[in-house]
Amino acid sequence: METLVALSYGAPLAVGLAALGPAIGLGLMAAAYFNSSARQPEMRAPLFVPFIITLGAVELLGLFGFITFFLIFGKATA
Amino acid sequence: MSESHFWEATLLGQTVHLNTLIMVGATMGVLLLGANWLTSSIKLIPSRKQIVAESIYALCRSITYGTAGERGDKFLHYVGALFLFILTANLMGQLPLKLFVLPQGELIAATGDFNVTAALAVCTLVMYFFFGLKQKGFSYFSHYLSPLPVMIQGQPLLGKIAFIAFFWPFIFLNILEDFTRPGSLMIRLFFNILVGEILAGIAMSVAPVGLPVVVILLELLVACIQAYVFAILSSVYIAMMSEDHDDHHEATEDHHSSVAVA
Repeated sequence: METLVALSYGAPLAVGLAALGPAIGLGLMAAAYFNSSARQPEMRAPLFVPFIITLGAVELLGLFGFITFFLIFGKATA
Repeated sequence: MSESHFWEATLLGQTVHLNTLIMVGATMGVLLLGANWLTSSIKLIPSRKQIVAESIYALCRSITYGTAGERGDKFLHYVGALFLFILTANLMGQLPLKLFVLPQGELIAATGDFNVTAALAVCTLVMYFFFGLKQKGFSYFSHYLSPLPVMIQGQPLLGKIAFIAFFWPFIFLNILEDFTRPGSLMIRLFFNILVGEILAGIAMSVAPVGLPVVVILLELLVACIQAYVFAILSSVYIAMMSEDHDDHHEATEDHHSSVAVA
């Protein structure tokens, strides 16, 4: 029972912490993309595909925290 | 995540999720009927209907052209079908599906089921093996040795042995790549859609008027981005695995070089 209480405080916190890193990364990435497309608008289209690919790679890290949340919570409540 | 979210049945000894099957069938029906209707009267001077169809085709082609250039036309059919299926499935999840009452579970987007995204990811795995083998023949498997042939170039015999002795575990990393690629595709799509469903549920319980609209607008954006990401990553993987050395030079000259992502 105590484990469950501890998890109900800790697991949501872990999701938030896991979201912190990708959030910073995505912010930096989008800022760089907007900066570069403002300086050189003709590079906007060629940079879009690498931008989306990197977005996919960065965003996955945030989802790992969410997966861990579900795995641990499923084990604890079962 | 639990069993109660799915309408389960047993077919040939396997458990199947009937609500997912219904949504996959509905998605395929929408796509087939839509494609049939849009392309029913193709003329040299296009009608409005045909312009819509051609712009959808151009969007699909921009995905493969952006990652592989002219060479991408070989797998345009696969990537285009993947993109349209995922986009339609994601967007159908935003319809008022709660109106249909099932005996068990509820209808959600087809991509909100782990099995559908896993199947799509395995399709991509099979396709990049297929195109790699078709393009390169048996030498396709030499990419598993990836950094070693470059490292031992121009080394004395002792150096070659030392490099191989130290860096042979790279082979396992290269094999692992074949599992992490479909795995990451699967997890990304599934969890983005699942989070959307959960978020919509929470918004409904917090403020039934107003707040779900904001969440649904966000979900429409996420649906389009995730379909695009899945299609582009599949295209990149296929392009990376099936590129010749000659093609590679052309691609880099055209500034359409593919970006390597694990």
